[in-house]
Amino acid sequence: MPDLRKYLKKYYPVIFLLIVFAVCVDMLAMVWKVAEPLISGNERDEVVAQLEEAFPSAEGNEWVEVVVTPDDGSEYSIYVIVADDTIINFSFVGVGSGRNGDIRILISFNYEVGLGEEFDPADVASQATIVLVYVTRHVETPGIGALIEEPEFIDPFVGLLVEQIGIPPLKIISGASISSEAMIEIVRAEAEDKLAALPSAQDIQAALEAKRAEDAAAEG
Amino acid sequence: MVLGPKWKGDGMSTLRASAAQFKNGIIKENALFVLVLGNCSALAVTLGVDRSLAYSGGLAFVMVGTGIIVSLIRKITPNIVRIPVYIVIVAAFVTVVDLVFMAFLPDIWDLLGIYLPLLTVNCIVLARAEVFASKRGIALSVADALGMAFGFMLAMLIITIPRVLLGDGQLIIFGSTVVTLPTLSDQPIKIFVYAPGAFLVMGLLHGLFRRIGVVKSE
Repeated sequence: MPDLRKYLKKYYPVIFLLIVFAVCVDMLAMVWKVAEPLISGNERDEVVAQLEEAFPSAEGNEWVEVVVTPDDGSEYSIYVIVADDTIINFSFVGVGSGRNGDIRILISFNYEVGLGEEFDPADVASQATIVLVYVTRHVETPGIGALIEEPEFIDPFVGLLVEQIGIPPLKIISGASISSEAMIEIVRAEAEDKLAALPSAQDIQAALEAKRAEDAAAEG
Repeated sequence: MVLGPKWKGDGMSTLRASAAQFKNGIIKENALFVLVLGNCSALAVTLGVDRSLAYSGGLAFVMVGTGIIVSLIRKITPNIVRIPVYIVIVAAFVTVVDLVFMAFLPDIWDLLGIYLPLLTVNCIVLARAEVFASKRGIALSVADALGMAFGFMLAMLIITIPRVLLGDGQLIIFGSTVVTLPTLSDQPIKIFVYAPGAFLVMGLLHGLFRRIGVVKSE
């Protein structure tokens, strides 16, 4: 028993620090539980606003969100734009590490295929071209790394095939090489992964019909 | 750095002591102009009234939260790990602020960017935890944190307003244009929105406050 007291006394500072750490982690987990749905909702609103700007519903475009759940247990959304019963665009949010933290990017690819028509994701991955790249969230250094969201850096992405994403034709921002390289790598890697695992034609059609029914019920 | 007396007594005297401690942080021990702490964030964030207010609000929450917890555990905190313990507590509160801003004030979160997580290493927070909250009760620690944060907010606004007026020619608060300076809005002195301009404004204000006696020279 005296030995135990001696050890407790010796390791008390470490134990105390670990307890404080555990309590703080617990508190953060509780806050995250409340904040996470709101943060995701904000990002979704931003994504929808960007897609609406690029593909206005007034011009007959419709968008539908299809949730994809690959075998690795993750979950993400593919936004599909439909016009005149033709799928014209696939968009998704890509995530990766920048210099100071995660960079989240809306990446949008144009590819045409009839609604309900079977398609091979490999064809999409090889033929789709980038139409929009938009940084939804980042914590890169203002005035330096934050230049990744400026048109001078983003515009050259437009029109590229997945296999063309790299340096060159894209250029690194002088003084912000880590952030700009990270951004290029995120767009390339996420495009490869997510275009190869697109939802099936049936899933897209089912999601669109469900959304149309929902919209009609909301209006009616 | 003035530590203030150790107040002991009834509720009224604690209240009076808390009020005195609160006032102390506004001018006498103003974090930016007297203690000269937290200058990095002041240089970076004072580019708009909205972001200065939001940053100061975040700082107030972190300081009050940290003050309460550090004061509560002061008698059981081993001296050898006190700084790591304080840093863990500060980092936890800063993460809470970061998440809350991200969830409820996304536009402000975008404006503050990396500077919000960097609250963790803001000297004011750690200094007041170490110098004050670790030696005093909860009421005094909260009063000190609020006074310090309020003083910091005032100082941030005092730096922000001339920087924005000179650098942009107009003062916009929560989306509304409050003041427009006719000549400067057409030909703003851009240096004031950059870091050198922040140094200039801070230096001039430091000098002015010492000259008129608001801040006493050491």
